[in-house]
Amino acid sequence: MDSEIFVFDSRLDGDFLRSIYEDDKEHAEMVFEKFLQSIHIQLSEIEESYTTGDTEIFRKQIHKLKPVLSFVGLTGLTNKAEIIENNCKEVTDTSSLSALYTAFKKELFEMIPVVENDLIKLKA
Amino acid sequence: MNLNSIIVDDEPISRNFLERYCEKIGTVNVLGSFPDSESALAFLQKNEVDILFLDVEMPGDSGFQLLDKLTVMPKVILTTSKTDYAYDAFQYNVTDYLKKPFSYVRFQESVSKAYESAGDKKEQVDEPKKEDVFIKSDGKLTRLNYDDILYIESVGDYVKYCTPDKKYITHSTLKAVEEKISGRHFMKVHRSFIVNLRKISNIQEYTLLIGSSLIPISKLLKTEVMGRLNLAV
Repeated sequence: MDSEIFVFDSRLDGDFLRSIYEDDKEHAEMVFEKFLQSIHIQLSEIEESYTTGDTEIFRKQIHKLKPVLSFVGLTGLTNKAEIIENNCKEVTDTSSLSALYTAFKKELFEMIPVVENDLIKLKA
Repeated sequence: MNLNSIIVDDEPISRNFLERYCEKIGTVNVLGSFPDSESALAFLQKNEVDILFLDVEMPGDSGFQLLDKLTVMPKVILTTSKTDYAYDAFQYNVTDYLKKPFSYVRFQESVSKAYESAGDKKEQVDEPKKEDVFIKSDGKLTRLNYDDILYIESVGDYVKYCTPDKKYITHSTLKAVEEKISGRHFMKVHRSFIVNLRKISNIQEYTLLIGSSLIPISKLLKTEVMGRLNLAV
C-alpha cells in the first residue's frame, strides 16, 4: 500500500474515488488497468445486443457495467447507465433507447483517455 | 476471531474489490470467489462459511435462487447495484445490503453488522424434514409435505406447486425443482410438468390423470414413465 496522496483528474469523481481507495494507490492502479483491459470488449458486447434489439440482454449488460464505471470515477456515467437500464423495462426494442445510448457511448469514449492518463500517473 | 466468507459476483472487478477490502480489514478470510451461483452452491454444499457476499443478478441462478437452495444460512451481505431488491432482502433476512459501488467505510459497517450477529449461533434454517419442502410464495415461506403435492407445472419464470387444496406459485424453474426432488417419487413427464407418481389415477396414451387434472406425457418420456411405474409400454 502506498500512502502517497494521489490527485485524480478533475473530470473524474475524486471524492468518490478517495472513498473507495482511500490511500491504496496500488489498488486504484490495478482496477484502472483491469477496466481499460475489459471496457472495449464489454462495449462491443453491449453494442451487439443493442444492434440485435434484445432489450433484456442489453439491460443485463448495462447493469453489469454500471458499478464498474464508478470504480474509475465515472459516477455520472453510472447514473446514465442506470437510466438506460430502467428504460429498458419500458421499451420493446433497443432502438427506442437510441438517444440515451448514443449520448452515453459518446461520453464514455471521451472519458476513456482520461482514465488512461490517470493510469499512467498512478503507475509513475 | 476471523470470519470466513465467500464472494459471489459475475463481475470480476466487483469481486476484486471485495477481495481487496476483506484483505484490508484483516478479519474476514475469503475462502472462495465465484462468478455464478452454481459454482458457489457446489462449494457451500461442502464447506461452511460465516459471511456470503452475494450479488443478485447473475447469469444462471440469481443470488436469491442460490439462497433458496441453502439449508444452512450464513450471514448474507447482498452486493448489488440496484435498490429494487430491498423487499426480497428483507424477506430473506439478509444481514446487510451494499449498493454497488460502495465505499470502504460502508463495507466496514457491513462487516461490523455481521460480527455483531456472529456471536450468536449461525442461523440454522428450520431444515425441512426429509418429507417436506419450503415454497416461497406470496411473500412467505410455506412448508409443504411432498406427499401433498400432486404435480408441479412450469409457468414461464415461475413454477406452480399444485396440492389438492391450493396452488402455490414461486419464482423458480422446473429444472431447479427437478434437482431438489431428485430421487423421490416424482418424475418429469413433460417439459412443463413434474408429477407425483403416487398420485396418478390413470394413464391414457399420452396423458395421465392426477386428481381432476389431465397432464400431458411427452412422447420422448413415455417409456421412462411407464418404466418408473413398473408398467410395460
